[in-house]
Amino acid sequence: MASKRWADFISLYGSLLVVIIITAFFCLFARRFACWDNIQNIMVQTAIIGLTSLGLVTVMMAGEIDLSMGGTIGFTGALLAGLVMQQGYSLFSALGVCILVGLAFGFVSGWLVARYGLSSFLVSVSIMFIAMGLERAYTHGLTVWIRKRPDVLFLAQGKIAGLPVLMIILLAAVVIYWLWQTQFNSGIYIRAIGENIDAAREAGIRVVFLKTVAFMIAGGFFGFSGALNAIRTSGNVLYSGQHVWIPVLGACFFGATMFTRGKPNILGAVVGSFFFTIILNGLTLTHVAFYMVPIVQGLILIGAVGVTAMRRKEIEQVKF
Amino acid sequence: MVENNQIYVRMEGIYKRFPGVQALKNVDLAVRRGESHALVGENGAGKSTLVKILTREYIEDAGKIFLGDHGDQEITRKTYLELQKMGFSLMHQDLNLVPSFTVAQNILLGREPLTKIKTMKWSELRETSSTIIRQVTDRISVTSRVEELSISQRALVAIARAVATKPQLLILDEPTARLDREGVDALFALLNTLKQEGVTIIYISHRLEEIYQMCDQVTVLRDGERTFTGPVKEIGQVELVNLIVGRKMEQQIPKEEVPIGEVVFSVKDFKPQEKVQEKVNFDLRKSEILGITGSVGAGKTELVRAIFGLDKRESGLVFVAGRKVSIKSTKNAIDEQIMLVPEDRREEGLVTDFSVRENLSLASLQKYCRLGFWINGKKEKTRAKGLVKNLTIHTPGIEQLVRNLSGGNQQKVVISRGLDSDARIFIFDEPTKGIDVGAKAEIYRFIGRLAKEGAGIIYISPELPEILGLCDRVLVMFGGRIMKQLSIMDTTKEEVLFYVMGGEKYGKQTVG
Repeated sequence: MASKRWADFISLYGSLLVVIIITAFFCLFARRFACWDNIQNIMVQTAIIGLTSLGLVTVMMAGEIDLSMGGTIGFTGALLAGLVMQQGYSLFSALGVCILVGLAFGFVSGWLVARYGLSSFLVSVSIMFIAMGLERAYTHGLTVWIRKRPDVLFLAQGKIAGLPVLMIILLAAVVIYWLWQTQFNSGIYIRAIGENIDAAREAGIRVVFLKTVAFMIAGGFFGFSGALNAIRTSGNVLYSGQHVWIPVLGACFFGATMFTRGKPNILGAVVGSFFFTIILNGLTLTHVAFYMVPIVQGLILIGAVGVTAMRRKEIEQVKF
Repeated sequence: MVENNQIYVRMEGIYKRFPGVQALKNVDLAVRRGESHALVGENGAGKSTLVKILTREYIEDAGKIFLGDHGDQEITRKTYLELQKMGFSLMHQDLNLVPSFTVAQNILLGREPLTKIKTMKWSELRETSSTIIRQVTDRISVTSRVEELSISQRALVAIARAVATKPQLLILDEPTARLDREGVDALFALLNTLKQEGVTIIYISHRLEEIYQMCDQVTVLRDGERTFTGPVKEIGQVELVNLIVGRKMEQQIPKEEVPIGEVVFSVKDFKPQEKVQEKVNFDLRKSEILGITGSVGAGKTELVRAIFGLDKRESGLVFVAGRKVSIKSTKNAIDEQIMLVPEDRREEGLVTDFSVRENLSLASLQKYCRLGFWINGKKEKTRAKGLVKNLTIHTPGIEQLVRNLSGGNQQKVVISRGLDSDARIFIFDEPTKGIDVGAKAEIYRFIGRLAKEGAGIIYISPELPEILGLCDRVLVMFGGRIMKQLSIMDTTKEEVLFYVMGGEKYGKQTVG
C-alpha cells in the first residue's frame, strides 16, 4: 500500500519536484541567480507568461486549444505602444482597447469552434497569422518605443511594497480567476464541458455559449498581457508574440502534469510559468549558448505532453 | 402501487429511418401513470431509438407524442430540457458523468444550489446530494470523485442523478448492464420505493429475471415493429422469448457439413481482468466454428481481447494444439497463428486513407520484401488481386482508398488481411455488424470455407440467426459468465435467447 501511495504522490507532485530540483540547481551553480534583483527580474518575466497561461488554460479546460497568442500578443503590444506614444491615449484607455481587441479575437475563434465545430487548432493558428499580419500593417514593420511616459512605464518598472507591480497584477489575477474557477457555476461548467460535453449538454448547461466565453476570456488575457509585454520591453518589437508562445504552451501542458491526473489546471499553469521563466533566466546566467534556450524549452514541452498523454490513457482504460 | 388507468404518455405511429435501415415502423407505445413498463427486443429492434425519440434526442420521421390521455397535450415539439422540467428523466446507457468532479457535483450538475451571485453553496450541495444518493446506496461518499469509483458505483451515481429531479417518468436504458449484484439489489430497492410513490417507469432490459421482478407491463419490439403489449403476469418466460424472436423466415445461411477434427486450441481457468466474473474453460476443434453470444456487456469482447493479448488477464492458461503457450501481446498471439478480426474496424482494423492494396499487406509486409526491406511490388499486387477476388471485395481496383468502400467491403478487407497471415485459429468479433445483407452472405461463405480448409474459428455475435446458421457449438455469456454451452444441432433460437437473457432452466413454463 505504501508503494501505491508513493506512486500517487509522484504522479501528482513529481513535476513539482522537478521544478524544485532545477531551481535549486540554478541557485547553487548560476552566479547571481538567487539575488533579489534577479528574482524580481524573474517575477516580471513570469507575470507576462503567467497571465497568458491563465487565458490558454481556460480554453484547455473547456477541452479545446488556442494558439493565437503567438500573434495577438504582438498585435496588442504594437497597438498599446502606438496608442500611448502616437495617439496620446492614457494608460487605462489604451489597456482597455487592447483587452477589447483580444476579446474580439476570442469571440471569433470561440464562435467558429463552439457553434460550427471547426477545429480549434486550425482556427486559432489562422487567427495567429491574421494578427501577425495586422501587427505588421499597423507598425509598417517598425519598432515603436515607449519613452517619457512614466505613468505607463511604472507598470513594468514600479514596485509596491518591494514587489514588482506586474507580479502583483499576476497574483491578483490568479486569485480572482481561481475564485471564479472553483466557486462560480460558470467556471465549474467550463471544466464539465471539457471533460464530458454530453454530460454537460444533458444537464442543460449552455455549451456553445460557455465555450465561446472561454475563448473570449483567453482573448482578453492575451490582449492584456500583450499590452503589458510591450510596456515591459519599453516598446514593441515586431512579432514579439513569438517569444511568449513556447513558454506559455509549455507552462500549460507542464502544469497539467501537476496536482491533477493529466488535466489542465490553474495552479499548475502558474507554477509552469515560473518554471519556464526560470529555465530561460538560469540558462542565460550560466552562459549557455542563447540558442539552447528554445531547444531546452521545446524538449520540456514534449516531455510534458508525453506525461499528460500517458495519464489520460491510464484514466481512459477504465471506460465509462 | 398506484392503481390508476390513466395514460401518462402515449407515442403514436412513430417512424424513424437511419441510413440503410428502417429503425422504427409505425410503433405505438402507451404507458399508464404509475406502471413500470418493460421494453424488450433483440439488438437493433429499436428500443433505444424509441426512448431517445421520447426524450427528443432523436427526432422522428413521422408520428406524435402526447402527454396524458384525453385533452392531450402534444409534446412532439418540446426539447429534452423542457421535458425534464415536466418530469421526464433518462438514465443513459453510457452514464454521461464528469470523471474529475465529485459525486455531489455530478448528481446535481446543472442544478447546483447557488447564491445570488452564482457561487456554489457547497454545504447545501453536499447535503442535498447525499440525501439523494442515500436513496440508492450508503456505500458511496458524495465527496469522492467519480474517477475513483468502480464501474458499478458510477452506474449508481448515474441512477441517483436520474432520480434527483424527482421525476414523474423515469426511463432506464439497460441500467443493470454495468451493475454488480449489490448494485442491482440497490437499484431494485429504489425502483420499488419509486413505484410506491407512483413514479412511471420505462425499463429497457435484456434480462428476463428483472422484467418479471420489476415490471407490470411489457412491450416487445421486433425489427422496428411493435409485436406485443400486455401484462407481464399473463405471459410466460418462454412465450415472451418466442415473441421476441418471432416466427419469421430466417435468412438462409449456407452451412457446409465438414468433419470436425482434433482439439487445436483451448483455454483453461482463463479470466480477463475486465468484465468477466468467472474462470472460463473451452476447447476449439479443427474445422469447428464455435459461437460466443450474449447481450451487450456480457463480456464476449473482453474475453477474446484478453485471449489475443490485447487486454490483461488475471489468470489462466492457453493451449495451441495441446502445447501450452504464453500470450502476453498480440505479437505472441500472431506468432502462435492466432488472428483476431476486431469489432471496431475503423478504429482498430484499417487505415482508411490507405489503398486496398496497402491495407491488405500492412500486417504481412515482411513477406513481400526482398532483403527484408525492399518491397516486391509485383508480388504484393498479385497477392492483393488474389485476395480481392477470393473474398469478392467490390472495389474499382486495388489502388482505391479504403475510405471509399462500403462498410461491408471494408470489413472484407480486414478479414482478407487476416487470411493473408499464416493463422490457423481465427477469432471474429461481430464481423457483420452494420453491413448489408449481400456482404454478410459473402462473409458467411468465406468463414465456412476457412473452416473447411481446417482452421478453428471463434465467432462472436449477438445476432442469433447468425450463430445458429453458422456455428457448430455456442457458448452463451450472461453477466460476465459462460452460462451454457449448447450444440447447435440440438438447440433452438428460443432456447439460446432464453439463456442470453439470463434464464435459469429452459423447458418448463415459468409464469409470473
